[in-house]
Amino acid sequence: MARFTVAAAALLLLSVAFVRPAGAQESETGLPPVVVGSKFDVENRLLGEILAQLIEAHTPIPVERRLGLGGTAVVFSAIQSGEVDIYPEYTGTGWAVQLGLSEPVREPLRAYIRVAREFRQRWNLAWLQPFGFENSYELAMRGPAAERMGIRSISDLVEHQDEIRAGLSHEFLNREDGYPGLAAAYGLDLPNLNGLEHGLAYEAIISDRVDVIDTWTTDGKLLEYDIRVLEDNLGFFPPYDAAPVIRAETLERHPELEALLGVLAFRIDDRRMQALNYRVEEEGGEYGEVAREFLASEGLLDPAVGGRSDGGNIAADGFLGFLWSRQSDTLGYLLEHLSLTAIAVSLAILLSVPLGILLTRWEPVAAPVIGAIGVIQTIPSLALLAFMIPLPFLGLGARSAIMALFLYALLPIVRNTYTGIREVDAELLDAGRGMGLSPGQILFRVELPLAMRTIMAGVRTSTVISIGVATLAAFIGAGGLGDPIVTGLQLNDTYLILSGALPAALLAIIVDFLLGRVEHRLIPRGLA
Amino acid sequence: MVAAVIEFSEVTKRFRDSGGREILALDRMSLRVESGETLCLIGSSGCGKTTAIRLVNRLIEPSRGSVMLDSRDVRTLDPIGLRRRIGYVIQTGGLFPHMTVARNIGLLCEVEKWAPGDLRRRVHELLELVNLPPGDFAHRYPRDLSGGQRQRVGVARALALDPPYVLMDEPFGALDPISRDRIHEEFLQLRDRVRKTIILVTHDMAEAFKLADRIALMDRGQVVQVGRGKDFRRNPATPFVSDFLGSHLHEGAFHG
Repeated sequence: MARFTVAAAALLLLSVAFVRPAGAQESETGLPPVVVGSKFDVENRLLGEILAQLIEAHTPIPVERRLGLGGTAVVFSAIQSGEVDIYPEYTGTGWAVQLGLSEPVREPLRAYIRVAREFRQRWNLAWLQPFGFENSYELAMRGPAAERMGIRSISDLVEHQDEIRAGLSHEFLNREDGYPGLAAAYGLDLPNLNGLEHGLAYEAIISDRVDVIDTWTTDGKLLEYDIRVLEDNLGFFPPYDAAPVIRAETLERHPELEALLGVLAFRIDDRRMQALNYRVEEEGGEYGEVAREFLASEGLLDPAVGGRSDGGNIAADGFLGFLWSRQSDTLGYLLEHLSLTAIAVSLAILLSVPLGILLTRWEPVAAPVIGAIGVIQTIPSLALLAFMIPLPFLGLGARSAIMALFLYALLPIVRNTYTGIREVDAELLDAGRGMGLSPGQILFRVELPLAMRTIMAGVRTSTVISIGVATLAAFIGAGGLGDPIVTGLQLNDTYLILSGALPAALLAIIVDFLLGRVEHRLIPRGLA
Repeated sequence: MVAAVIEFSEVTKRFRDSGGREILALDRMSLRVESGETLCLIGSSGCGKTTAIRLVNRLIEPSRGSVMLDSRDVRTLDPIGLRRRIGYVIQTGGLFPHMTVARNIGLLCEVEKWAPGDLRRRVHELLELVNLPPGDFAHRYPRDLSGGQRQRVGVARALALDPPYVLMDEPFGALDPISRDRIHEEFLQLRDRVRKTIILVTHDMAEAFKLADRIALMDRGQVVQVGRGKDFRRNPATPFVSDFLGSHLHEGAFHG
């Protein structure tokens, strides 16, 4: 037992070494870096990369990239707490999501002014000048299907809604400026409606699995497929002009940023943005490379500077070749993933086992406490991750991910410890007490060994859950095997998705097997 | 030698049952157990006999009255130390299923931090005492033992620290008649070799007649009659006693 404890502690210490360092580090120049963030969709990431390269090229300020964070909620939470200094946002999103305004707005300028004013007042965030393109939500159908049913506008869609299969992205389904508002405005009530990850939507519509999806004006994939955008004939969608949003404090520290980033104002129109997205999504361009091409073509980058090369995509033969070419990346992600899980589950064991024991000694609170811990389980993983970001000490990155995984891991271990100890035969406790064992001796020599099988079942459940949930850690910049999965989803790159998903699944199976061996060692032989 | 006695004086014990009703388990019970004797506490179920012995090792506390051990109120003694001076055997043996026979028997020596050599010698000695060859049994787990063997291990475990007192709660109640006869014989031999003050709870009058120096018959929380077996047969104190003898003696074989 003692040897096992030492081994476990050593493993835990070792795993800390692989966790991605969180937050801002001091750079060589001594200046605190400006942190550029973005959501995880291709366009937002690309805009983030453009902002980052522009600052790097024209100022001595060190730049840290936190690109590809999990959606509006995560990035916004990160900029509020100062984990991120600047990120690209859309006026319509600010209007409907952050400000929660339900009144319709059509005029782009009115939306921009209102959003900019209120962001400044409420959160001390400044909207810089717009990039010049609008990326509105849209509904789209496969060309032939739209032709056949004679659907051109959203109102036409309402007439055919019973024959329509819709696959809408989760964010769209839940935003006030998405399906709920749209349905109310048009009297739309789609009977066959499913949530669909946007990265998979084009596959689904092209292969005739769904008829309607949500897209964006500038979506690069629209160039690739025969997809018809339905006219928003009632003018429901607000304007979605894109602009950088920056912390006012950061602007005070670096006033030159306003003028510098101002050079991007109205420089990217809808067509241009769509073409840039297409370069990444369909032509396999690296974000850094596409951003550099754009800045250079606009004369905003000294071509001699060149920048770093990200290598570009390797033409690998088949999936195995692809995996082989990425082995060191994959190994890195795997170690990160393992570390996040190992630390979270170890901490959960340290808290849950004593807590479970305590609850058996204090029955009246057991049900409420286990119930409260159970509530955590009902919070969607991504939401739980987002909740962690504004908390002190946590922020964007590994600490928040570990905290969220830790919270998820609690319930199975607490509940199983509690149940396992309660199930110990009362007669054995009586025998132990009657022969003169102290309460501590009864706990360690009788109750815990007899409950060990149940406790270990809880630990195994928690571990497997954690390995799964940890794939979402990529959304808050904590890395792990979710990184290639999220990127692959955005790029519609099946190999990339699999290069994260397969090792994650394999990891879960192997770790569960190893824990089974540990369990075998820990369970006393008389019980096996 | 100091008289090792257990004395109940005017002990009352009330419980609340799960419905909140009060139950009077012991009603001003008085009894004196003499040094070195085996006293059988007998009565039908619910008469308070198990409650009485659990008061001795402080698994429960009296509502009123006191239990004295060597003229000292047990409530003034540290419960852990007290229990280690009192062997305790329960009906199912109460063996820990995750420990070998040897570890079950040696557990108290282990927590008392005996040297490993002494511990092993003591375990072997006890196994021989209860007629289980150590080479064959020391490393078995309880699930690999018969009921009678488990009970022998339970007795051996209770004697590990050589306690002057032993409490036995229906120790042979779950055994089949043949094993019970064998273990009775062994108990008698054992009792002569290790002279202890023993309280043995049973509901089997034949067992009481066979094993006891003296018998205390209980009914509704009180001791109705105390005496040797023959006193009971010759002079039943109340009609209840003769009824009890009449209804219980022809149940099993009588060897008295």
